[in-house]
Amino acid sequence: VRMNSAMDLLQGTLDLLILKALALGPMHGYGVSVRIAQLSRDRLQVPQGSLYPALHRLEQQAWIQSEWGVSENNRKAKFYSLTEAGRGQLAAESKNWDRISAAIGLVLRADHI
Amino acid sequence: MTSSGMRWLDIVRLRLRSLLRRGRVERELDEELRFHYESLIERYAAQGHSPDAARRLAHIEAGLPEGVRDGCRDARGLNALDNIARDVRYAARGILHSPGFALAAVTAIALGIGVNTAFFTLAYSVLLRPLPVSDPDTIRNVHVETSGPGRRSHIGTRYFVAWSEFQHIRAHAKTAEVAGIAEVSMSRKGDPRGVRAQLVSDNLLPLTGAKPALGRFFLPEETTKPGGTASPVLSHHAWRDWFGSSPSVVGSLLVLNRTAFTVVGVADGQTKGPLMIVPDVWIPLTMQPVTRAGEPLIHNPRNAWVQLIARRRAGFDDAQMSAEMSVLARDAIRPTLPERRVMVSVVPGAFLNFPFVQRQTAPILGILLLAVTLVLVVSCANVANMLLARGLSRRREIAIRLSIGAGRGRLFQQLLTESLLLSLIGAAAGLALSQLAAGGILGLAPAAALGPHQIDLRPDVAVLAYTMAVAVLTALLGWNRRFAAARGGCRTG
Repeated sequence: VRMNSAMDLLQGTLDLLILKALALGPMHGYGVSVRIAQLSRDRLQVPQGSLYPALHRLEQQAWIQSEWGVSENNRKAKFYSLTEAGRGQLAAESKNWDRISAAIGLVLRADHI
Repeated sequence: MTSSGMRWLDIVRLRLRSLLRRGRVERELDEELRFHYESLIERYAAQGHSPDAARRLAHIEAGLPEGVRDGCRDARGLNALDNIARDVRYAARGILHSPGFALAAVTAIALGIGVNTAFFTLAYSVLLRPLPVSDPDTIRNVHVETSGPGRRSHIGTRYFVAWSEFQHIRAHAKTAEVAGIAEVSMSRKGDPRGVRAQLVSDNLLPLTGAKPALGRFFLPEETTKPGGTASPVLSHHAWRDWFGSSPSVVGSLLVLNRTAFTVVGVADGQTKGPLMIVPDVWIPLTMQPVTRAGEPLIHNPRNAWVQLIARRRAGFDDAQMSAEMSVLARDAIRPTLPERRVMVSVVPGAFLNFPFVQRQTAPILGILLLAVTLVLVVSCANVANMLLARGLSRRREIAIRLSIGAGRGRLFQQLLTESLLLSLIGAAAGLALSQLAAGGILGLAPAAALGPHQIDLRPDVAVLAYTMAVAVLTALLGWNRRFAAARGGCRTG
C-alpha cells in the first residue's frame, strides 16, 4: 500500500467517510456532518470548510449526485446520494482502508524486530 | 454503455455545468450554506441555548463562508481560471486607481525594455535572422581560404574566389547548386545616392526562391561569357522609385556607370537577395568590368572577388558537401597558385556565419547587449522599489484581506498579476519604442556602410518572444520585492 502524503491520506479518508455516510441513505450536507459525528460517537467533527469542498469534489467525480428536496424541518435543502460508481468506489476504498489500517496497526503494535 | 463510460459522460457534463452555469452553482452553494447555518442554530437552540448564544455558537462552528466558497470553487477546478480573470480585473482597477504610480512604473519599464529590445532587434536582424530566402535550412555559405606562396588579391573578404574558380566549382559540384555573387556600388545618371547592385550568376535568384514580378531573371548564357549582356533585373523598390511601377518597364533603358542596360525583369517585393543589404538591381556577374574602373577583375584568376552561396542538394549532408567543395576548390586554384594551401568551410546561411561578420560584429553587439541589459536591470530595480513603496502603503489592505480569510498563496498570485500587467503594458510601449530606437541607431551608421537601404528590423516571433521574456523577468523581479513587502505587512498586521 502506497501512502503519498499526509494530506492525501486525510483527504481520502474524509471522502471515504462521506461516501459511507451517504451509503446509509441520501442526506444534505448538514446531515452528513451530523451523521459522521453520530457514527463516530462525536469523535470526528467535519468542519464546513472541508465538508462542502469534499462534497463538490465527489460530485465532480460523479461518485455522488445531488438534488434539491425538503428537509425534516421542512426547509429546502440539497440532498446528496451515492451513485452506482460511488458505491463501487466506496467498496474499493473501504477495502483499501482496511489494508492500510491493518498494516499501520501491525507497525504500531510491534515491540521487537 | 458501460457504467464507467456513463461516469465519464457525467463528469464532463458536471464540469461544463460548473463552468457555464457558474452563477447558479454559486447561488446553490450559498443556499446550502445558509441551510447548514440555520440547522446549527436550531440544534443549539434545542440544546437549551438562548437564540443569541445559539446564533453565536453556530457562527463559530460554521466558520468564514468565503473560505468555504473558495474551497468549493477549488474542488470544482474553476478557481484557477476564475482567479486569473479576477486578478487581472483587480490589478487593472489598482492601476487606474493610482495613475501616477502606474505611469511612472510603465515608463521605467518601457524605457528599459525598449532600449533592450532595440539592441536585441539590431543584433538579431544583423546576426541571427535567417537569410531572407526560401527554405533557408539548405542554404550554405562556401568559404574558401588560401594561404602560402603566390600572389592573390582579395576584393571584399578573403573567403571569396576568382571568376575562373567559381566557374570550375559550379560546373563540377554534385552535392550542391553553387551560385556566385558580388556586391558593388554603381552610379545612375541624376541619382546622387548611388546604386547598390549585386553581380550574380544566373542561378542565384532562382536559388534563393525568388520569383520575377515582371519579365524574367537571367538566362545561363547571359552570365557565362565575360562582358556579356547588359540586362539588369530591377528590385521591386527600384521599379517603384525609378520607373513609377510602370508595367511596361521591361525593355526600358537604364544607364548605370555610363553603360546602357536594358531591363529584362523586376523581382517581386519579397526578393531581398541573400546578403544583408537589399540591392537596387541585379546584374550578370559577367558585367563586372563596367562596375569598376581599371583592369577588369574577371579576366585575372589571381583576383578573388566572387562570393559563393550554395543550395545543398537533397540526399547530401554538410560533410559530403564540404569534402566535395574542398576538392573542387583545390583543383580550381591549382592552375594559378599550385603551392597554395586551400581550406574550405561550409556553414549554414545566416549573416552570423560570415566569418568576418562573426569576428568583427558579434563581440561588439554582445557587449552592447550586456550594457543595455544592465540598463534594464536598473530600471527593474527602480520599478521594484516603487512597487515596494506601494506595497508598504498597502499593508493595511493586505492585512484586512488576510483576516477575512484570503489565502496567502492567492494574495501573492494577485500581486504577481499586478506586476505582470504593469510590465506587459510597459513591454508593449517598449516594443514600439524599440522600433524607433533601432531605426535611429541604424540611422547613426555611416551612410557609406549601408547606403540608403534598410536592414530588415521588423519584429518577428523571435523579437516578440524576447520582449515577452524580458517583460516576465521584470515582473518576477518586481514581484519578488513585493512579496517581501507583503510578508512584512502580514507580520505587523
